[in-house]
Amino acid sequence: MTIRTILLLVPFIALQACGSSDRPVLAPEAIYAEPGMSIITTLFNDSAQTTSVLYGNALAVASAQDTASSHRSGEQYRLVTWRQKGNPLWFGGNINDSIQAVERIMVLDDHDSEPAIRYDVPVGTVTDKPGDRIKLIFGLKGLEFPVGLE
Amino acid sequence: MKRATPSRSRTLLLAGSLVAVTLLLLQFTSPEISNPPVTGPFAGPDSVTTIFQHACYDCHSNESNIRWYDKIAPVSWKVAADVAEAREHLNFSEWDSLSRGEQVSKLWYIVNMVDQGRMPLPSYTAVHPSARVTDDEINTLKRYVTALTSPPKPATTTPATHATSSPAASPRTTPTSINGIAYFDDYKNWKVIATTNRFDNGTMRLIYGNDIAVKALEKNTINPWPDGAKIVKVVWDKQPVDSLGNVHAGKFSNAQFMIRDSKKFRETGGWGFARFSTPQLIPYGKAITFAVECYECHKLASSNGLVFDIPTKERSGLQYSIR
Repeated sequence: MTIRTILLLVPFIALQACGSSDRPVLAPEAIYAEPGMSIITTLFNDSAQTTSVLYGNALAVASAQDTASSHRSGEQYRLVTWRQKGNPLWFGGNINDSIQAVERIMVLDDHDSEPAIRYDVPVGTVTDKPGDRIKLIFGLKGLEFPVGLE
Repeated sequence: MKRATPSRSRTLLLAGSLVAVTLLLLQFTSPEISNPPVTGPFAGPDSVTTIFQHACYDCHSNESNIRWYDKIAPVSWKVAADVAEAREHLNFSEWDSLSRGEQVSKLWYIVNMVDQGRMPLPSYTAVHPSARVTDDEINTLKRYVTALTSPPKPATTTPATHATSSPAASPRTTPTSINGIAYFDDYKNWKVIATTNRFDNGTMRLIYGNDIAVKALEKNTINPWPDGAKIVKVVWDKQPVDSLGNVHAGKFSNAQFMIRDSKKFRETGGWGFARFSTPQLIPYGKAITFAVECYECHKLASSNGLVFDIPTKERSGLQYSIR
């Protein structure tokens, strides 16, 4: 390669470098999706640097809208927690990073005063006691959305 | 060494004289950049005012310090036009004409423009190096705006009360933005592509994407996004932090729509913007030009195809600021 060729290529290489450094590295794997699950609510915790979304099946969504604290057999919940980071494009905001944990709750039986519940963590780890996590998740209520459109 | 022939010398002399005379005559057309009275100046701490003065005031105030070389036509034409446009967007000498909310909002925008190196304009700092803003100065600005926006005080006794859905109101007609974008709630069945919270304005958000938008993210075809992509950002007020450190979504604030149609919305980067505020879903914008405001701000996210909130991997070298 001649000196002249190299000199001609320098601006091109420089432009390529500038372009690639501006481009984000996408992380579609951070999008959580599970058939049959809808959004119930969202929360974040600056101390833990996490942000979470609670999903649920139709029974769970209905329960989260209900003021009664009882739970019915068949309710399923997923609390998805992401690590949180500063938004690279807006100082003043935080955004979810990669998924840290997914917690799963299923109400197995509601015949007794204390429903039978299965709780597990299929993705990541959670250090709090399962009882505390179940209490937290069951305490979350549905988001306020505008309603009443024709 | 070759010597110019007499005829070539005469041609060069004539051309040079012509250019000189033209430049001289152009000076009579040079616009004057006046400094109107300062009616309500920005009044922040000295450390912040000093930064704005050396980096912004030449264009964004009535205290423009126009250098001698900026007064030479045809450069002066461009300088005059830039100053007029800059004062139109933001004038530190008329800062008091903005409401408190507008001032805070502008300050966050300014910090982000400076943080991303978009302001002062690189073409300006190339000629006026004293206008450059150092990293230390950017941090000073960040600390200032952060202190301006105090977070809600922590709840000390009881956990936050969670919001519940509004009771069904009577049916109403579909709210429609002035640019023709009508509110819809299909987004509730879409995937959430990101979740964000803002300490600059006390809100938290879920960002939904339709199938076309999600596929574009999966295939990395977001520069530009494909036509048909739709993104809806739903915004709630934050509740005070509870005893576990959690912050929950409170009242519904607004829903912001981005509809990709590169032909229909060509003037706003191929995106149609709409915002519907309060549970009554009042459309934002009294004139169709409102979307230009949205577009101007979204240019900060040009690397993401004008979409601020998408899932990305953290790259080494990027400085994230987490509060």
